Amino acid sequence: MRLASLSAKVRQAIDWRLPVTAAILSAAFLPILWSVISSLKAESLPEMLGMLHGPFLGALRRSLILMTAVVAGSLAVGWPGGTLLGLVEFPGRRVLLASLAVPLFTPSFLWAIGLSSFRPFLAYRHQWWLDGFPGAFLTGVVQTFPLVVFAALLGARTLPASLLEAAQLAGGFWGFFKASSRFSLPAGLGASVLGGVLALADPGPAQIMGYHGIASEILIAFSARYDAGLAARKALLMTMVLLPVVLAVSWKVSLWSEARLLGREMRKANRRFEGILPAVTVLGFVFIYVALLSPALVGLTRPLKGAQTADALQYGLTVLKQSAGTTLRYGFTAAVVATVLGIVLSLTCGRCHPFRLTVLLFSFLVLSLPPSLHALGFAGMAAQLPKSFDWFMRGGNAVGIAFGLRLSPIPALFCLRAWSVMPESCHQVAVLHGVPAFQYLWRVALPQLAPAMAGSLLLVALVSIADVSSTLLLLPPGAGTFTSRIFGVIDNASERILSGLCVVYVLSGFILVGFFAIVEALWRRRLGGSR
Amino acid sequence: MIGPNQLETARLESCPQRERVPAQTQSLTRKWSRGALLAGLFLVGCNRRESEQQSRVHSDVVVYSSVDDAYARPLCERFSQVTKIKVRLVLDTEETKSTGLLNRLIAEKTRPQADVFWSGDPVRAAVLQRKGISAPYLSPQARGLPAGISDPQGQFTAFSARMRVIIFNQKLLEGKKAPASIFDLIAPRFRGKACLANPLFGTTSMHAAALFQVLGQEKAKEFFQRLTENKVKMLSSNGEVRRRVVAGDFEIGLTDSDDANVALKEGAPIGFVLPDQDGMGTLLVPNAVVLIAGGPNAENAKRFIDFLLSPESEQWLAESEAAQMALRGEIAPPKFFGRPLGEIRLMKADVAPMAAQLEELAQGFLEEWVQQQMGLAAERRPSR
Amino acid sequence: MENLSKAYGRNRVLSGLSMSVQAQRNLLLTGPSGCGKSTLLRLIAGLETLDEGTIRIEGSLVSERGRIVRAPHKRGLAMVFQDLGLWPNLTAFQNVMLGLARVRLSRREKSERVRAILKACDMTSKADARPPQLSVGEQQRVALARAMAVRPKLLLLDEPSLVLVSHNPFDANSISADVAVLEAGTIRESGSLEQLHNRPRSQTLQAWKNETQPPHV
Repeated sequence: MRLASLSAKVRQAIDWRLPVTAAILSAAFLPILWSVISSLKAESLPEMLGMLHGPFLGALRRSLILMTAVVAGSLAVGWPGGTLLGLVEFPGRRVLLASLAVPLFTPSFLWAIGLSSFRPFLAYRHQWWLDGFPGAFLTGVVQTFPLVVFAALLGARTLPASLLEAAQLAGGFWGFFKASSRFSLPAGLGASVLGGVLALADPGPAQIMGYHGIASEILIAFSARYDAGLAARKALLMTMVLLPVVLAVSWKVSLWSEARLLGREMRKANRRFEGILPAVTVLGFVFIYVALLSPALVGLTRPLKGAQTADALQYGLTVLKQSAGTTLRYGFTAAVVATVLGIVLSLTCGRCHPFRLTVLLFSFLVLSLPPSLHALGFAGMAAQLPKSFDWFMRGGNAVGIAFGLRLSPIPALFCLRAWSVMPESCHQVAVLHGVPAFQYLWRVALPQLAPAMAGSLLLVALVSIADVSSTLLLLPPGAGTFTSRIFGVIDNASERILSGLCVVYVLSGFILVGFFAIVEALWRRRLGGSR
Repeated sequence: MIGPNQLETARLESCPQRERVPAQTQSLTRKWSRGALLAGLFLVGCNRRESEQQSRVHSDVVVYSSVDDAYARPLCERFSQVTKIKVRLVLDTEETKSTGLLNRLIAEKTRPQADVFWSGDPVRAAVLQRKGISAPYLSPQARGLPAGISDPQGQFTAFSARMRVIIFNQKLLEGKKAPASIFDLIAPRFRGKACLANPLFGTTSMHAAALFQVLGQEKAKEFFQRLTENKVKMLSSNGEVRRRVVAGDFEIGLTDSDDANVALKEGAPIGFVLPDQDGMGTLLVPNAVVLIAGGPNAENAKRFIDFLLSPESEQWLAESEAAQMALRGEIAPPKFFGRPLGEIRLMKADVAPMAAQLEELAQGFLEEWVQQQMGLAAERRPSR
Repeated sequence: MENLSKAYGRNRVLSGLSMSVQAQRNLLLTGPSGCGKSTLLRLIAGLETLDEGTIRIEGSLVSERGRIVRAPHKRGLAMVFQDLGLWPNLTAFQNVMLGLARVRLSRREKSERVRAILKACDMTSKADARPPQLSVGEQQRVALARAMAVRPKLLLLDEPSLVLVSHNPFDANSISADVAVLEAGTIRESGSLEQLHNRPRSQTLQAWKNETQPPHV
């Protein structure tokens, strides 16, 4: 892209898109900005530059290594895995897909504690696998790869039939697989970077595993020095150091548009494969999946044996009964807020590269900064605003609203991609025929974005249910989510009680996701087809 | 060569029946997406009504606490039963390494939501005092509680306490002498076999500050350096110390009495000692309760503080699973400790200056020590 | 059209192009790929702004330098895009129907018109099918029906050979009487098909004339 045409595009878009985009981005970013600005002093800049030495840079280097490793690791498992699940039909595929959501809605500290509890199963000399970098890496990959699987799966399924069939003719199943993989790479890569960024911002597992990254540095500012301003400055410094890399990646990604690949072919390929090769690859993926998840799950459930198991599970069910409503409500509010904002963002950006680039950069910025910085900013703003704003800033949905704002980049990225897959001529025909904007949005654009919307609704809901540290900072007093209840007893409850809670939490989450999967399957079957 | 019409037919044939279905499902997804939008609008509408209802209710008190759910909740319920005042509770723990409620209190300083902060240790209460978030309140129920631990102006009041203890794995220490002092952590016989939690956080940070007070700067720094030399492992939390000693990864670990209590109740093969009974004594970690300045329900807050500081509450905390030591001498100690408070030698550390002291340590010596430890942890593999 | 110029960045697609199309006539615009055929159509449709020049339809100015004077949907034209631009989630019927959004007719009159045009395109049996369920040829007919339904004064067909399943320009006799050849951003030659067939000057036409075998698939 040349600068001249860039500026021309910007000028074209300045009319109404600029204010809308700016409004949404600043709403998402405002709480963080609040934290930063309210802490800035005259000497802040020299102080920030002064931090740029030894331990800080060391922590930053470790975080970067961790992030890169998580991106690479989750991509290595999730990209082929997701492509495969998008191509091959086999019994139990839906159950497998539903179970893949488990790591997404399980708080990261539980994985870390689960891994830690798994130690006794390993000989001491092998325990370094769960210590420091390997442990933090494993936790990061476990939480990120399902995201990559889902993204690659959706990517593989948008591939037009003729391309795949040509590849299949040329190279059988492998040809088919390779062609789809190439097509699902951008989505998979995007998801793995998203997961890597979320892992970068999360201090819990790294701290529990003893891997001192930048998130731990920020946590020290928060929890040892009670200085949110310092935490904000450290976080900002981290982002500034990372910015050149991010800018380069965002630039590249913002230019991706798969529309040209799709052309006029709209038929989807047949995904029924039989034979040994597909079966073996699927089994291979399932094996890796089980190997990744089982240590933490075994660790978490290890104390559940003997006579008191029933009591522990009973306690878990009681907590579930008390907190399920609130938990679901927060997740749902966050999902709706984020998705609505994300859709509007993606619609305003469309294919305009400068806008796409801006949204990508902001997404990185918002997601990579510590969640608690956002939450604290939100809480700080609520305290400054008059009481009449409490229904919004401190009421029953404040948690959901704050999460929705922070996570709005996720649906925006999903929808931007869905948008880029749609041929430009569709919009131009509408312009030529003078189809009113609202009618076009309602009848054509939104339905086209529906899968992306559904995916991001689910993802945002799961991610916000899993978070506990931001929830804690925003929770209306007296309310409690399931995760915050686990969090409340984690210090002094017996291991068995904790296990009972975890088992109930994971199972109920799994049942919930599975329920949606079954409803969807039945619904499709009723319409006369099976997937 | 195939003609275009043939090609078309071929394509139609390769297009199986099921491909004709998604058309209908698409229209359903469309309905769903519209439904979701409408639901969003509805939610925003509902929200307003609900929060208006909430703000009309004034017979409640908002309590932020860093005490475990297992005892905070039952005590709050007892308070509600007696006074008919509803307690709205928000709980925190250091175990998961989250940002913590103290930061929330600081962020909400201008217009607090909380009325009371019930802290598991007095240092965080002192931090609130330093930040100008607490208000003075001298509860009439504090009579009988020892002076000297609480703030004389009533910015925070201490009651029932935990202690810092050394736990040890009995299987690993069978036939050997049990540890008796925190200096055993730097003894050659426990080289690479001892652990403690991160001294920047929680009760371990209080312990570090107490050591700097009692031993003096020089000796305390030397102690920490010798911890490094003796390959003492720094873990993320006291709970992790408990888990790793129980699992047999380490022979001894420095942690809190409640962690030892949990492990013992689980039937884990561990023992514990109150360290330095022949020397500087063990560190007492009392609970502390703080009245938040400008909280919305000040009167109810005072009643809650009175309740918490009453002999009945101390007794309940001593008798319940919390196994906390009452600060009033006349209340029987939990069986777990085996002796009354009067017979335990305590560290002579002053809580009031600890907040400032920790702030200084956290950006100086201790921060560097932790960074050094974490750096080693990330790059070293155990060599046992 | 007078003195049209359009560039994308440094890539100059059209430079100083001038031409006119007579009413009631068909014009075949041809030239090597990347010569700016599609760009020219998009400029006429008003989907892009001009760098230089003016475009008039029936004598009134519709586009001038840097400005769309008349919005695309007010120009009385329709277009079938190279990749058709069918709305994938709507049925063939709905595609044509939504295309009539700005036509002032009652709902009943609109559906009658849609039915009639689908019948003319031999698509009545597939009226309730969505584009992914249609063959490429059927999709093309739906796109054509959608364009024709608005009864445009000017119909722009991008790559009409694909729509009408014919590839040799001299075969396009049935639809086209005039031919204009676009090369290097400007009109190289134009005239009636007959004239050009006899004395082709542009490389494009010479090459086609020399072809013995029409390039059917």
